[in-house]
Amino acid sequence: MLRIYLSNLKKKWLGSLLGPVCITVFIPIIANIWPEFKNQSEAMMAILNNPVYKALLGEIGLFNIGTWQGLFFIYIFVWLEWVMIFASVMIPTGLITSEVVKRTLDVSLSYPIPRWRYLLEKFAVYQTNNLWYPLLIIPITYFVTSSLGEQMDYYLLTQTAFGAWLMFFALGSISLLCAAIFLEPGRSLGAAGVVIFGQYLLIKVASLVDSLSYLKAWSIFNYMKADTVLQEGGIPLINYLIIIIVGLSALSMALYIFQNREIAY
Amino acid sequence: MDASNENIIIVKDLTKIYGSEYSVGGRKFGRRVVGARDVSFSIRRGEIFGFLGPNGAGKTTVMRSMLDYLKLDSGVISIFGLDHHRDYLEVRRRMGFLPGDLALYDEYSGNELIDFFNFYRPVDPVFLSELRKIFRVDLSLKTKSLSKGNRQQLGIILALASKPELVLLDEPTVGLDPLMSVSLHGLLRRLKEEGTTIFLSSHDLYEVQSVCDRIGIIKNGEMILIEDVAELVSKYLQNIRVKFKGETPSIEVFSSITNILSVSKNNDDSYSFHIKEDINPLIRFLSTMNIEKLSVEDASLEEIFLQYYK
Repeated sequence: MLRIYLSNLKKKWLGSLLGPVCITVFIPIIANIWPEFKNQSEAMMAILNNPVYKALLGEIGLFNIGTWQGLFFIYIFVWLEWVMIFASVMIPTGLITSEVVKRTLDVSLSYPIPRWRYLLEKFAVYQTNNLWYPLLIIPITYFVTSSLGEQMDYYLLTQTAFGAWLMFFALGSISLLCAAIFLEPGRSLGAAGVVIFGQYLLIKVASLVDSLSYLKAWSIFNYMKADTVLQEGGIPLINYLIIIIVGLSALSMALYIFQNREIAY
Repeated sequence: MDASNENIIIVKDLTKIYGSEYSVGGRKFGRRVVGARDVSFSIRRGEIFGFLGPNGAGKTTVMRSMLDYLKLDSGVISIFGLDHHRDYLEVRRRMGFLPGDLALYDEYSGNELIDFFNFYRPVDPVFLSELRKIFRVDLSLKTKSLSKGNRQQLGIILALASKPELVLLDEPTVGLDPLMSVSLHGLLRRLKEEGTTIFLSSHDLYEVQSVCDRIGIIKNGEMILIEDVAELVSKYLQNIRVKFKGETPSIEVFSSITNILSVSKNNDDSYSFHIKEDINPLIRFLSTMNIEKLSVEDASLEEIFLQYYK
């Protein structure tokens, strides 16, 4: 049982640390600038009211960066969002397309393994590896915040970090679906990029232009934003459900298509 | 039913067309390519079946269809009496496969791959240790550091390690040195004796002639010949060399004789005839002439193959 999962997990755990470590490294860096930044936070707030920054940062830019928690959330979760977009486009599509390019599927699929299960176990490795994000961010934030003598709402931080993990799942499932449909790397990456980055742009544009704010509901990013968590004091249950349903639907479709499509090169 | 007569593979009217064509406003778009058309054959238990054809003839299409990698446009494939699509898990439990363009996971060693796949199709430990002796590839090395020949040997070990009832081999000797090829041929003959059925796709006609019981030749997606190798070689094409006593007749006198594919005059004034199937018309004609020396040889499979592809 879970042979593919365990074997891939063992082989790929080191490489999977790259993204989480890159994000986590920023925590002590922000902590380092925080004492000086604190005195200039009002000027910084004025800059963030600029429409360009609003477009880049969304509503999170309006959050109070005069506090350590506010600054932390802006920096870390904006970076995390970008890493998430990049990783969720590249990694899940590669689960299929790299095997198609290298033709390694020919040997693996000649064994009595249902294709859907083969793919599911590989996707589970991606999703398990993404646990490094909350598992590294939360404790390091705790130590850094303690050393600064500042306040942090760890309930919110945990919710946001695990919310981001669920977003990796939903976006990764969408990417996997694109790869199952196209198989070929160029088209799969293109399709996944258009869908995921399109969703990201949608919420940024909708946040910037009031008359388009109704479009927010059509972007998956709307349901797991750090600023939503901060403003509402947590992630509403319905948001969790939407993310999980989108993720499970895309994943089920990807598995179904991969199981039933032909593997032609 | 006698086990040796049991058909392990039955392929009936297999048709596979790649791509699609559609027309808009009288203009045609897209392109359809015939991968295989109405291909039918069956393979008995314990038989080594050679599958021949040049690049693009449809060999890989047929093999990939048998593995359920491709969807058939029409036709039926039955392996071990099971539907190749519906019962694909059971079929794969009993079948080994070596792809033509072998690719293995770079980050795994040979031992790790054997161990990994052992979970899905358990290896026969006694036979595996025998394979380790025959194929001298270092299984502790990662596959990315292996040469092409060594990777091919590892691929063969993976395909055979479970000692499956049926083995599909696509160009198994590509990259192997001649000694290793001979060892593989010996191993295949031994497996056949033990009841293993082998489907061997190859460009190497010497290999096919030396190990296969029957061959199928595919051309432009259509099966154009299925024949017992020994019978084919002995009856289909023969080379006759004749040296006449006294005056040598002109080459034109042979033009009316049936079944002569070609005739040529050699430096020693003898004639070489390429005869298709029945040699009697020529023998009858020659019996009226004064002959000094006559020799008859079976043509090689290569010559037969080339005749089909002319």
